Amino acid sequence: MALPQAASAGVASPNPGASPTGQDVFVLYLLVIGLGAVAVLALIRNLWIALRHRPDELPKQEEGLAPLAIAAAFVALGLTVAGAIGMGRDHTPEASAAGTPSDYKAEPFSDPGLKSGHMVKTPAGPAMSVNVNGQQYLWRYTYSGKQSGTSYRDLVIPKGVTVLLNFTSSDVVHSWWVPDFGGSFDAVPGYFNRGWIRADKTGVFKGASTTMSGSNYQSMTTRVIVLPVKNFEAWAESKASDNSDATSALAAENSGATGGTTK
Amino acid sequence: MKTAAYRQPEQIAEIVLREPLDKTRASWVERVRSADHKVIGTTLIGFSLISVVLAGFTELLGWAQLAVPDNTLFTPERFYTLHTLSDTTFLFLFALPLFAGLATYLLPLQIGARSTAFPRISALGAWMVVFGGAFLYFSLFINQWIGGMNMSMPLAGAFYSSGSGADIFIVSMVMIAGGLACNAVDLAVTFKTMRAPRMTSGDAPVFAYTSSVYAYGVLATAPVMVAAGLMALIERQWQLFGIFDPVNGGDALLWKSLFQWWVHSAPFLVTLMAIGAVCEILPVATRTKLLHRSEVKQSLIAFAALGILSFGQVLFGSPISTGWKCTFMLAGTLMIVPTFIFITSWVRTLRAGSLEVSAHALFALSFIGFLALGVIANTALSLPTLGRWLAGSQFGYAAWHTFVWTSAATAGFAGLLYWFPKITGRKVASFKARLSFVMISLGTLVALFSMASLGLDGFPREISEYGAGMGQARNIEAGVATLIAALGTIGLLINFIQSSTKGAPSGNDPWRGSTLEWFAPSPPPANNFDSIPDVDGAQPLDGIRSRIAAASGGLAGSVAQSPTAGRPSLRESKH
Repeated sequence: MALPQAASAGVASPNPGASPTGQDVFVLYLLVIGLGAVAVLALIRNLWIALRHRPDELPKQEEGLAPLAIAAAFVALGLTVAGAIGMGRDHTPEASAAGTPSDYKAEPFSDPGLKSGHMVKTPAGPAMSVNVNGQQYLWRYTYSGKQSGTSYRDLVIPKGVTVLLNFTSSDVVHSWWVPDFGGSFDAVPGYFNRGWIRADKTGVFKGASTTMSGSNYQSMTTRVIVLPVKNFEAWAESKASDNSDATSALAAENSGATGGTTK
Repeated sequence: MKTAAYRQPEQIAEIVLREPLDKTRASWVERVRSADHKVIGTTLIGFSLISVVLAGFTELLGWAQLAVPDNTLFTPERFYTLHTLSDTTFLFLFALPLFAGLATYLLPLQIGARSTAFPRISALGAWMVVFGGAFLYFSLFINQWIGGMNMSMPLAGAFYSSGSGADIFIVSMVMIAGGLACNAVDLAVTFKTMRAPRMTSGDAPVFAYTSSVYAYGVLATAPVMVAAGLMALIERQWQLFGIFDPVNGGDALLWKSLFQWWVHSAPFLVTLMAIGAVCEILPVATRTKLLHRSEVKQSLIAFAALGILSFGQVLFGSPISTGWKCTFMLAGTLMIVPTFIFITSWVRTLRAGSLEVSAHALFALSFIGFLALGVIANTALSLPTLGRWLAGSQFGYAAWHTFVWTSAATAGFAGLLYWFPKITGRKVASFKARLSFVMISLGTLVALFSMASLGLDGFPREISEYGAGMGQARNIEAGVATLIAALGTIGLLINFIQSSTKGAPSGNDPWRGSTLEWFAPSPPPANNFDSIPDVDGAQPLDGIRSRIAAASGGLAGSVAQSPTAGRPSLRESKH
C-alpha cells in the first residue's frame, strides 16, 4: 500500500512543500527547532559546568530568576505571534498565480444541516473549490463549476490555481493529510470544515488519513495530482464525457512531460 | 494530628516501636482489606510494574509488524488492538499508577502524618484501577476495541461499533479515571489537613506538594472522563437521543473535547509527578538544598494548569474558532516558562553542591534532558499550522512517548530506586541498576529520534502497514532501540525483586535525606511515626540532626536511626 513519502524531505525536517501552506509548516518548524537547539546547547553547557567544577571554584552569588523567566515568557509570546501569523495565513487563501483563466470560480458551499466553525475566507480572484468527503475508507472529491465531476482517491488540480477544499464526512471522523500541502484537516460528521492549497509545481503527491477510522484505516490513502492548467482542463472534459477513472494514466503521462516529481 | 505533642529527639530515641520491623509484606487478603496507605501505595506500584511488562510486550509486537513493509504478521485489526492496548497500558496502567502509588506511599510520611485522610477511598480507587486494567485485558477474549486510544465518536457509537468492544473500553477508561480520582481526593485532603504541626504548605517537601498539585489536576480532569464515558454508554445502550452521534443531533467535537480533556492532560500529569520526584532526588544527591524552591512550587501549578488547558491541540484540524485556537496555542507555548524554571533550578542546585553519582541520580539527570526535548516537541505541536502537520505523524507519537514513557522510566524509576530502601529496608544492587540506566536511556533516546524522524518524513502515527522504501530502516531502528530499553527495564524489575529480599540492609536514612520520610524506620511501621516530629523549616531533618549533634556533643550521622538505636533492628540481626 502507498503512504505519503518524502523522497525530497530532509532527515530532520518536514518537506518544504509544494504549496504556500506547506512552506509555512517548514518555516515554523525551523523556528521552533532552531530555538530548541539553542536551548539544548545552553543546557548541555550549563550542566557541564555544574557537574565538572567543584562548588568552591564557582562564584558564590545569588542569581536572579525573574529576568530569565520573563525572557522565556517573551520567547513563548514570540512563538505565539509566529503561530498566529501562520494561522492567519491558513485562514486567508493566497490569490491564484498570474495567468490563471478568469473563469475559475470558487463556488460557495452550503448545507444548512452542517455546523461550521471554519474561518477560511473566500479569495477574491480566480480560484476553484472542491468538496472533499471522507467515508470509510476512501476520499471522494466533487469538483464544482465548469470542472464538475467526481473522482475517488485522487484529487486532480491545476497548477497555480488556489483550491478551496470543503471537508465533510458521511460517517466517522477522518483527517486528510498530504504532507507536501501542509497540515491535516479534519472531516467531522455534522460539521463543514474548510482549508486551502495552491500547488506551485506539478507532480503526484501522496497522502493518508490520520484519524483512526476503523479496521481498514490504513488503506484510506489519497493522492493529489497536479497538472498544468491546459492538461487539467483536458482531463476535466474527458471526465465530463467519460466518468471512468482515467486519472492515473493521464497523470503519469503528464508528470513525465512536465518534469514534476513523480513519487 | 494537630494536637500531637511535640517531643524532643532525646525522648523520641527512647520510644520503643510497637510494630515488629520484619512484618512488611501483607498477605493477599490483608492487601485487599488494608486501609494502610503504604499497602495501597505498594499495590499501585506493583500493578504498574506488572503493566510495564505488558506495555513493552505489546509495543514490541507492533514494531515487529512494522519491521517489514506490507507485513502480514498481524492483520490490521490485530495490529490496532495491540496499538490500543500498548498506548493505554503505558499511560493508564503504568505511568499514572506508578506515580499515584509513590504519592500514596510517601505523602503521609513526608508531611509527618500517621495515615491518609480517607484511606478507604484511596483503597477503592487503587482497586478500581487494577480491575479497570484487568477488564481491558479480559476484553481480548471477548471483543476488543480496535479504534485506538484516542477513540473518536461516532466511530465508537452504536452504529459503527455494534459489538461490546467499545463498551468494554469505555468502562475500563471510566474505572481507571474514577479510581485515580478517588485516590486524588485522598491525596489532596491529606496534604491540606494532615501536615505536621508548624509545617506550612511552603515548607512541605516538593514531592508532597507536587502530589497535591497532581491530585487537583486529576480532580479537574478525570471526573469529566467519567461523565463523558457514562454519557457515551447511555447513548450506545439506548440510542434515544443524540449526545455525540451527529445522526441523532449529537456533536462529535463535544466528545472529542470532553474525552481529550482527560486523555490529553494525563501525560502532563505524569510529567508533573516526574518533575516533583526529581526535585526531591537531585538536592539530596548533591548534598545541598533545592534552589528557587518557591518559584518551583508556583511553576508546578502553572505546568499542570497549562498542560490541561493545551488539550485543544487535538482540535487544531477541526472547525473551531480562532480565539480558541489562540488560547490553546498560548497555553502550549507558555509551558516553556515553568519548564525553564524547573531546569534552571536543577542546574543551579547541581552547581551549588557536588553530585554523588548513584543510580537514582543518573536516572534523574537524564530526565532533565528528556523534559527539555519533550517540551520543545510540545511547543512545535502547540502552533496550529505546524501542529496539524506533526500531530498525526510518528513525530506526535514520539512526543507522547516522551511525556508518558520517558517521564515514568527516568524520573519514575529514579523515584523507585531512591525510595526503595524506605519501602523495603534494603538497597538495590547499584551496578545492575546503572546498567539498566544505560540501556533504558540510550534505547529510549534512539527510539524517540527514529520515530520523530519517521514522522518528519510523513509517516502517519497509527498505521498497520506501509509500502517498500517508506522508512523500513527507521522502523527497524526504533524497534531495536525499544527492545534494548525493554531489556534494561526487565533487568531493573528483576533487580527490584531480588533486592527486595536479598539486598543489603539500607538502614533508615541511606541517602541522608532532609525530609520526614527518612525519620521513620525502614520499612515504616503501620503508624509511620510514634511521635510526630517538630517541624522547623523546609529541611526538618537538618534541624533534628543539629539538635542531636548539640545534645550528644558529636556529629550526628543518620538521625532516623536514633529512635531505634536502643535496640537492634530485627531485620539486620538476621544477617
